[in-house]
Amino acid sequence: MEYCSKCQKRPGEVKCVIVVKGERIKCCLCHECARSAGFSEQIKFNRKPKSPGIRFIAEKRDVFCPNCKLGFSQFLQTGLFGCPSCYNAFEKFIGDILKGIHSATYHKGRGPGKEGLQDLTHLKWKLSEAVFAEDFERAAQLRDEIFRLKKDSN
Amino acid sequence: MIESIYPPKLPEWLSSGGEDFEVVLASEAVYVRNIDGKAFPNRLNEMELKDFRRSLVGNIENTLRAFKLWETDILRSEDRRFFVERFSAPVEILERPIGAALFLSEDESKWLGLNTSDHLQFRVAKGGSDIETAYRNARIIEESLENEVPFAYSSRYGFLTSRPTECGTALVLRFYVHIPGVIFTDGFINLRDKLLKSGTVLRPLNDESLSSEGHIFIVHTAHTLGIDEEELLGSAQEMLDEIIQMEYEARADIMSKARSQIENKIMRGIGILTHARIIAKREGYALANALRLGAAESIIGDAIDILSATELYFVGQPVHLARLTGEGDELTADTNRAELFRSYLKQGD
Repeated sequence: MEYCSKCQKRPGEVKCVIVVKGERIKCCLCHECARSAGFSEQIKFNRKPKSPGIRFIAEKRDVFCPNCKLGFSQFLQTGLFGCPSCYNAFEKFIGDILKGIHSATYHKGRGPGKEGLQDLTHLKWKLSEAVFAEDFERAAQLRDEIFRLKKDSN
Repeated sequence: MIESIYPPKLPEWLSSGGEDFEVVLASEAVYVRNIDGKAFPNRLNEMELKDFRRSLVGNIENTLRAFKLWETDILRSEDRRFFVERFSAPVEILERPIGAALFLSEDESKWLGLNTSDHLQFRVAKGGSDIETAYRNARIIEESLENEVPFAYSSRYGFLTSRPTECGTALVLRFYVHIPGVIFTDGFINLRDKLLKSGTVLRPLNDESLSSEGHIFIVHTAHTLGIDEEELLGSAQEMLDEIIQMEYEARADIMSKARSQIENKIMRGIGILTHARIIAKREGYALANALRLGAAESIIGDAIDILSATELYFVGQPVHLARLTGEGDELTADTNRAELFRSYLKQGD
């Protein structure tokens, strides 16, 4: 039986090749060491170490958007982001995709309105949401804030 | 009733034609916008979509008070299709009507889809090649909405959309072009490749609109990131001018070299229109294509004008046809189509 190349304690279940400075090193990792090295939960670990044909899918760990919980792998399947925060959550991975589509990765042109006006629009939107959710205490706070902002801008 | 508000014929905004109408049926500017901090419609469940629609409608209905509001899940499926058939709604309302809504202006040139693929998607159209007016009017709506709801925006990716193909300006300029000359002279592949290189997509309006008598194609800009709106407008106008020029030259070419063959095709179309008792949907498109070219090139005299020939595209579609001539099976519909088309020819006489 082959033992894990890293911890040398548990039986090796995941065979992999590591490239160090251009040199390919074959090694075998146990379940725990493989997981800590970044192989995803989707790997089908063969619990029988003696079995010759160990089948597994070595994939990198999926990344999830903290806001809408969409996984990057799901985005790749549907081609749809789940919320505005997905752009930041998947920032490392979408550069090539955007370049392929638009031949560019940065926005050029105008944004949404003037700075002061934008704050006011945000507050108005939050106020409408608070009223809709019947959170009248929060609505009153927002109303006062809007009033103050309008007064300041005048 | 929807049909009494919007008669099942050529939409009003298209009924006066426009510049270069022989080649360009319509020009459209489409903006996509989302609300800051809110999950896109594809991540919301039915209840959340409906709640969000209520809240969004409450915020923007004052800005859009001249528009008529339709909640798409209350509309019947044929009503939704009716709007899509006449370019008066985004196609997404067919697949995802739950929790979505449609704001539509009286002349149908402006629509705003709510909770479709994105929170807000709005379009302004003009007949002919006047994309600049369409764009300027769409921008006015965008700026009015901007005062009512906070748009999702990042300085790096611009306006954030559910599809990575639309982020940035989130503005798409679109044209419906009729280019039989380019097709007859085998210039289509050249044109398509040329447009692709300049970031523009050329695709058929639908599979059924393809015919040997000429085609209606949709041409639209494909880049929204790394190009600002004025640049996009400039390059789209340039590209459209090139298509128009190419089509006029191709028509002049075929009319000088193969006039009798073209006349033969078109006059056969008139023959079918006059005598056929059954016209299937695909054949209807082919006839509309041929008659539109015949009217533009003054081949068919007063038999039918270009606006009536264009109207055939609309009235020959299933829901429009059913509204005009009554419901029925496929054979009844094809018989009704033949009768309806014949009446158009008589009108032109």
